[in-house]
Amino acid sequence: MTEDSNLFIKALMMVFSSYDALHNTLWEIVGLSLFVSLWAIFFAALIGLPLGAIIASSRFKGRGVVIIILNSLMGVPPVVVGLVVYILLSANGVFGLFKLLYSPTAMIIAQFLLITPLITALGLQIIENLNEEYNIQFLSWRLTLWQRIKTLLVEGRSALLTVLLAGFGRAISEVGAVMIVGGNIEHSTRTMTTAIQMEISKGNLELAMALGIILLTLAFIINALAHFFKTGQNKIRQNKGGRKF
Amino acid sequence: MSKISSSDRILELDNISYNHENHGEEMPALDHISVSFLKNKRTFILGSNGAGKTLLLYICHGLLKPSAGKVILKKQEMRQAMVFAKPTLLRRSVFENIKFIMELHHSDKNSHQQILKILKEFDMEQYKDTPARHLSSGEQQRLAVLCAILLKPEILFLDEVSSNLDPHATLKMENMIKDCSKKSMTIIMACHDLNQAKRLADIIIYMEKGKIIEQTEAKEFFTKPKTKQGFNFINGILS
Repeated sequence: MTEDSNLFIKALMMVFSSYDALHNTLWEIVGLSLFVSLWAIFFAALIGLPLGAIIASSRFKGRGVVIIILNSLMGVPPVVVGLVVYILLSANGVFGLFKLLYSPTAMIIAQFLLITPLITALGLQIIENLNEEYNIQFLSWRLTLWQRIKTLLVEGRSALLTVLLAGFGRAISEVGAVMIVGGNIEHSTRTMTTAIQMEISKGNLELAMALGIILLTLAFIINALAHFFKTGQNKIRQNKGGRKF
Repeated sequence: MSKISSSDRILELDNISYNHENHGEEMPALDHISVSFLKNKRTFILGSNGAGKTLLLYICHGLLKPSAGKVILKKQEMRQAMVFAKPTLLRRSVFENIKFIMELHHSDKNSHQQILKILKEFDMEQYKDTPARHLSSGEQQRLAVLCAILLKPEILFLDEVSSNLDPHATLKMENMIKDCSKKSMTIIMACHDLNQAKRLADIIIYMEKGKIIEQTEAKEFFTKPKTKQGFNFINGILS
C-alpha cells in the first residue's frame, strides 16, 4: 500500500471510528463550522431574500445603481470582509464594547456579510423573472407590495432554496474572513477550513485529510440538493403550458 | 339602441385614447373612444386581431392608464376581476390556488370544508390536489374564471377566455359565464368567436383599428348590422 492510500485510510478511520484519539476533536470542529454557517445563512436569508424581492418588484430612482452595487459585492474577497469586521469589532472599533472579536458570533457576522449580497442578487434575478410573469395578474388582484413580495417568495421557493444552498456552500468553504475574525482558537473558533490550513502547516495531514473528506462530502450533498431542486423547478417550467409531458 | 338611463350604466369611457410608442413615435392604438357599459348585461367586444379589444379591457380594468380621456366608474370602490386569454395560475395545487384567492379578499377565515364545497359546486373536486399548472388548458381557464368569481366582482372582464378551448370545454366555460350573469355580475368580454357572441351576448361593441365602429344589441347586430364594416365582419368579407 502506498503512503497516500495509508493516509486516506487513516483519515477515514478518524472520521468513523470513535476509538480514534482525534475523532471527538474532528467532530467538534465540524459541529462549529455547521453552527456558524447555518446561522449565517439563516440571517442572510432573512434579510437577503425579502430585500431582493423588494428591489425586484418595485421601481425607484437609483434602482440600477443598487443592482450594480449588489452584483459587485458578490465578488468581494473574503479577506476584505474579514478585515472590515475585524476593524469594527476590535477593541477600538465602533462595536468594540461588545467584545465579539475571536468568537463564533464574529464569524457568523463575517459570513453573513459575505453571503447576503450573493443571496440578495441571485434572489433578485429569480424574483424579477417571476414578477414579470405574474405582474398583470397581480395588478388585477390589486395586491399590495407586501402581498406581492410574500407571494413571489412562495412562488419562487424551489429556485430560492437553490440560492440558499449556494450561499451555504460559499459560507462553509470560506477560510479568509473566519480566520481573521475568529482567530482559529481550539475548542472555540476552529472551523474545518481554518483547521485544514493549520494542520497542513503543522504536517498533521491525517486530520487535515479527514476534515477535507467531510468538507467534500458536504459540498457533494449541497450540490446534489441544488441539482434536485433545480430539476424540480425545470419540470415546473416545462409544465407551464399546463400539460404534463 | 334604446335610450338608457344613467343608473343603468356601470362603467363609462369618455373620449379615451391610448398611444403606443414605436421608435420614439406615438402610434394611436385606441382612438377617441366613448362608450357606456350597462349593468347586469353581457357586453361582447368583437373585432379582428389588433383591433384594440384587449387594450380596451385593460384600460377599463385599470391595468393601463389611457393617454387621454377618463374612465368613469359608477362608484369609487367597485369590485372588479379579470380573466386573461392565457391564465397565470400559482405554482400550487388547485385547492391552494382557491385558498390564496379567498384569503386575499375575505377577512373571515375560510375553512377547508368551504373550499371543498366550492370545488364540488364547480365540478372540480377531482382536481383538488393536482398542481394547477398540470391541468388541461380548459380546466386551467375554468379555474382562472372560478378564482375571478370568488372575488365577487360587480364587473367581470373576460379576455378571449375560450379561444383555445375544445367545444366541450367551451360549453363548460359558457355555462360558467351564464351563471355569473345570474349572480348579477356585469360581463364585459373580448372575443372573436361570432357563434359564441350569438349565444351569449346581450350587447355587441364592434371595433376596428382602435375605433368603435358599432354598438348595438346583439340580435340587431347579427341580423341587421348598422355599418358596412360590421356586415363584412359577420360575413367574413375582407375589407
